[in-house]
Amino acid sequence: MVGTHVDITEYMILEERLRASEAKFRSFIQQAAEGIMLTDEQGIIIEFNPAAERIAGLPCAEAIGQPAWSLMERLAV
Amino acid sequence: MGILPQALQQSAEERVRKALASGQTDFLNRRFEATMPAEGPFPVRYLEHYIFPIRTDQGFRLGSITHDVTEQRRAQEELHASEERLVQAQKMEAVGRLGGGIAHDFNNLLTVIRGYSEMVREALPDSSPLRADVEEISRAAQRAAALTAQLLAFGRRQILRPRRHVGGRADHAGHLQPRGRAAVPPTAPGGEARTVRAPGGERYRLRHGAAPAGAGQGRAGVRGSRPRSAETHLTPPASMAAMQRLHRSQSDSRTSLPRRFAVLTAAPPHGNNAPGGAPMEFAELIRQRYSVRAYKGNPVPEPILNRVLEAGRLAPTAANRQAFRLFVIRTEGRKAELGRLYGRGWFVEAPLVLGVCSLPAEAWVRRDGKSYADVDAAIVMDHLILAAAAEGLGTCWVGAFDPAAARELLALPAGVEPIAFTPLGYPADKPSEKKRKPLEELLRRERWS
Repeated sequence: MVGTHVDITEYMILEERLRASEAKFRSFIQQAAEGIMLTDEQGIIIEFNPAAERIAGLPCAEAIGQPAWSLMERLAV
Repeated sequence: MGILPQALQQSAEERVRKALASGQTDFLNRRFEATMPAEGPFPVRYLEHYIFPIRTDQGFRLGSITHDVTEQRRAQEELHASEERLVQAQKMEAVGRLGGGIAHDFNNLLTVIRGYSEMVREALPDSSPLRADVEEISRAAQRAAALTAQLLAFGRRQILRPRRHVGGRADHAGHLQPRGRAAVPPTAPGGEARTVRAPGGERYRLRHGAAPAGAGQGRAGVRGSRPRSAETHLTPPASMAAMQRLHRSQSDSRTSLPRRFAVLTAAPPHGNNAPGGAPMEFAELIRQRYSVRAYKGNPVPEPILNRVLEAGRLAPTAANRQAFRLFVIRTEGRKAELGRLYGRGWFVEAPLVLGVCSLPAEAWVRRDGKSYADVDAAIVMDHLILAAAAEGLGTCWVGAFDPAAARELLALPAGVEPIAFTPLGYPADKPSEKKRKPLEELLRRERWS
């Protein structure tokens, strides 16, 4: 029986750190009073915080995945 | 959506793609202001956007931070609106003051018209055809007075600076007295006294106030008062009753009180003006001023001090040379030192000491060599002390100071003569009777003897 053992301790630590960092910034974005929106390189909305939902009157689930301009065209005054 | 600015709406996709492709986001990377419909109390919300590029391995992402500034905007708008209301209120106040002031002077003129027409009517025989004409004048003046009363009522709400009514002293109420004389002069030139008969039979002496020189037409008025001893019992003649009614309607309007009528109003308690109070009638001020020899330590407000000094500045000097200088000396922390000027304790009790120095070299000199430097300085000091009294301040001008100490303390150069000093502060004593020689002793008419 042949087995390999890979020490994933470092990986786990990194993953844990990443998760902590992610949680830190997510809570920051979630709780910000300012509406925060982020698009990817194609202009697709990938981040839309609760303040942005409130200001735009649009749920996060509907906003994410849409191109920024379609949101703009649909909702802009 | 509203998160991106209105300017981008027409070509939203194009602009966003351009920003994503180029990373050139100058046209996005700034603050915007936009409106969008919203539910709740504010149908329009004001948003500020800050849009910026984020460089990644694959190109650029766009980040947007949106700030809802609706509340701040509303607060600003409300502040602006309330500022405008304030300005408007201030304008209305100014109009009220102006209107009230004009109405007052106008009312004075109307009182003259009414008083005179009343007297003309009384002087005319019942059969005179002119009677109806005169009555028409009187009625018109009465209607006009009713109009000014409206203006006064409006102005009354605007006036912020109450003025003190002066009068009611026994010797003040001397212009109108019951007289034994039965005759009613049919005519009387302006400025002279005459007698009118009351319905009850009492006769009142009326003086038609010739306006003081320079006072202008607006100040002309009828002067009158009831004898103090009979204040509540006598029925004044019709014209007087009319004047009293008129005056009652004016008496609390607190613009420029026609002081000739002041004696008709209830007498206020006698005493000095409160600090910052209204100016006294001049004759009353002359009577009430006394040399104050005990002072309170409370400070003299700067605007009041300035008014006193201004009175000194405006004093008449020989040939208008103005060869004097005023001194304001604060006593705080210098009481011992200033005590060398004049040894009485009260001299440094007040917060201030005023001084007048003369500049003999600049003063006018009479042809026989008499210098008027000291006279000028004395007149300046008199202006100062009267202005101070009008402000409710006490003074006691002192000539018996130590001139050497004055020169040293004030660092006077040669050619500057200290003439008189006075404390300036709020009185802590009460006036005693003025001891003055009777006028007959002081006055010579035409020649010495």
